[in-house]
Amino acid sequence: MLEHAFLEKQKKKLESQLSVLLSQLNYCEDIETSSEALGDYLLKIKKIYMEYTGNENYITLIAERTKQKIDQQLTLFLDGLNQMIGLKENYNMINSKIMVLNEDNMEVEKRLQETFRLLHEVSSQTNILAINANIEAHRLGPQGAVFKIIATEVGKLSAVTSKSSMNITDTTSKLTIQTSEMTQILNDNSQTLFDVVKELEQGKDSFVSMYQDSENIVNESMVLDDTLNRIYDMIQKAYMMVEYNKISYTNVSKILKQQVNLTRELIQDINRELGISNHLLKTDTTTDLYKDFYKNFKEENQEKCTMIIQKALENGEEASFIMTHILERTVETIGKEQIDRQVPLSEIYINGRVIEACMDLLMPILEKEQAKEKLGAVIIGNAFGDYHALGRQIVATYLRMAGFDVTDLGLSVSNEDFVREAKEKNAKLICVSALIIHTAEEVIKLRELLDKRGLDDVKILVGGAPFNFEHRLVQTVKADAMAANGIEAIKVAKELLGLLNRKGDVS
Amino acid sequence: MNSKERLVKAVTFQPVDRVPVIPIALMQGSKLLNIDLPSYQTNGEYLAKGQLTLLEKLEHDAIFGIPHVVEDLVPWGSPLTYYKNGSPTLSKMVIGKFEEIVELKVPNPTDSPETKETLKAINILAKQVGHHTAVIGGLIAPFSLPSMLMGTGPFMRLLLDEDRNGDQYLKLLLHKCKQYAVSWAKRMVDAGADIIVMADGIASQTVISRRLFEKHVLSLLKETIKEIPVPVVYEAVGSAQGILDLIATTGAVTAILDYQDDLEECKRIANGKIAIMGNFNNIEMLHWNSIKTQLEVKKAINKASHGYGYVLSSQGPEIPYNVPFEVIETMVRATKEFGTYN
Repeated sequence: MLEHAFLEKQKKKLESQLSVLLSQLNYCEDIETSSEALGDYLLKIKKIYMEYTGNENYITLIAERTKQKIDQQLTLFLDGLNQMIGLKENYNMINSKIMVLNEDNMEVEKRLQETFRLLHEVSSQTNILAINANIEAHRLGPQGAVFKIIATEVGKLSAVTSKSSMNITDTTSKLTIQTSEMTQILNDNSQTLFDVVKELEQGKDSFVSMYQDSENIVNESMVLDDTLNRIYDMIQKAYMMVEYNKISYTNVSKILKQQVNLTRELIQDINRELGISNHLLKTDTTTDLYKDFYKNFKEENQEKCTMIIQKALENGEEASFIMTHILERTVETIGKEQIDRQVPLSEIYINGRVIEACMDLLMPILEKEQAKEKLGAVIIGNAFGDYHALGRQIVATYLRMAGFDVTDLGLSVSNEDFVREAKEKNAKLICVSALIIHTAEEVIKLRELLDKRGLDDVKILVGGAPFNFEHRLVQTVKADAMAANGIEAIKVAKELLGLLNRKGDVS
Repeated sequence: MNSKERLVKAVTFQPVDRVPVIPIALMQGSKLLNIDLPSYQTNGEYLAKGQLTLLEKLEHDAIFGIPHVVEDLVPWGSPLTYYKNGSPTLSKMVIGKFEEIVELKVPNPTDSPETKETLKAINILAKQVGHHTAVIGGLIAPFSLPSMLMGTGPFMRLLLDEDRNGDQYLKLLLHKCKQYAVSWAKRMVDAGADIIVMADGIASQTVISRRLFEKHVLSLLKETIKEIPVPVVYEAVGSAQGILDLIATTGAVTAILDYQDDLEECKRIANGKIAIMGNFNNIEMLHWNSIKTQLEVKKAINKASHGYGYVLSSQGPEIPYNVPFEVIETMVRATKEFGTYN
């Protein structure tokens, strides 16, 4: 009889061990699946890298091409500028020669005027001489006829001389005026050329600086290139690591399966000893417990989920086992699935409600048995002025499930109330939810108040739409971290409180 | 081409000179006028003056006659709490228990000082610049109003329970909210509004699934929009990408997108069916400067301007109070510079 009781006890222990082993097996499958997904992500990143860096428009190539173009243009520009400077110097020479020419021209004109004046006088004297010769020829009568012809021709010559000298004078004057006008035009052109050269010389500096900038861009893009290369290299390594992990987990699965079989055999041996035949192992029903629960959880079927938990408890499954291996694990898996898609609030809300209903069944037992792990006190509430409860309530549920002792202060909590409650409950974490930007900014004042009251070791975890939109807002409001949803809140809260690195827990 | 013509043509996919640009700047007028925000938000003349000053400075393509949409709740009996640096919040919930929905009376939308002042602002704007610049009115869509009447949590419970177990209060409540929205829209149109923006945060994909949208929102939207006598701009105030094809069938002329929505993909879905507007991350804008803004403008134009049907803007509901004015100025100037179609 004593032996019988002992065997029954051993059998129960083995059944519990079998449940844990099966749960571990499921975990391995989960890790294998998520490793597969992780490997796919890494492959996608590698592909993006290859496509991006192999593209004709890859930034380093564009930068180099642009720099070369600027370089060519700069060379052309400098050549042009040098030619313009040469032209400017030529103009200077032409200008000084024209000045001399002008002076010579004026001297020539002056002398010509003098000569013309003399010619004019000679012409007048000749004319008078011709007239007098004509008179004398007339007096001489027929003997003077030849003389008269000569005198008349001399008179005509005088008139032609006078007219020609006047024409020459006019032409010379016109020439002088035109030369002067030409000089003026040349002067204007010269001035324009000087101005252009001056502007180009000024532009040269910015052109050179543009070239230097383009060179900087090339250098920086080469740094980027190297950085991307390094990231790519690390991705390669991470990918290899993931592949090795997949192999390791497959091996662990194999070992666990062996252990499962061994434990089953042990239980069957005990059953034989106890005279039990065709016994349905308890673990055969609990093996599918997780899968069954998870399926109904995904289908948002609260009634079925609570029924499964209730039935499992009635079948003798321990509340702590259900909490850890069924409920928390389901939440973890759902969390992983939600990474890659937009999860509507309605879905998160229903998930929260299902968890809450299941916890209502488990918590009284856990509290009675003091079996639930205590992770410490946490205060949660909406920022002052914020009246959006839903997100806060969901996060509070998840934190409770994870084992935090959560005090929910509700809507629009004053910073004074947050601080007082944290002090009273000795909480090292305050979670603040805010849906609008100006209520989110209240967190700055909360940090200041905590520091002022000597509670600088109390961390602030924030959440809500403005933080999802702009992650830098977390730093702006001086919070310690943010969480986008309840599942993330568990992880971040544990990180902030240093609960993820407790190596002593392994035993 | 004046702003009104540009906007109308652009959202109906007709050729225009450039991409229209509408910064959703509801609060910035108070800074320009140097009036504290609560006083500004509760005075129709200030609101109009603020928008006119903005228009004078920016020469953008449409102006807003509303200070915010939370005012829609005041006629239902929920007073507002005002802040010096942001939109007001509700002070109480109108519906405590689902049973109260049966007796809930749909109020007269103009039965509050706030909504009266809004009508005054719309009227001043319509008279002064309505001939060349569109005046926009705005309201909370019927599907989103309940969450503000009773709180998002209780509304979620009502929605999801009745979705699973059959209708009891939901339809009645949505019908009452639709009556209110239509009546409020008509009053704004009577005052001179050319366009009504319908903010529907609870219907976005951020909050409910496509299945719930199809079952509970789509026909409600179609019926509501049909009764509003001016073009309706639908603002999901959350992700709209996954339901954009459905929004295109509601009769709305434009959909305002969320920053998370892929502008390029949304353009592909919406092209020729419904214009799109957006989608700068308005919280990120707090940290932008002129160069960053210019780059974002170029990016948005490259992704969505082809084939018309695009209005450059930020995501809903509005540009935060503390976004530098330089950013808003650059947003308009850069759109004018880089958004040309010639």
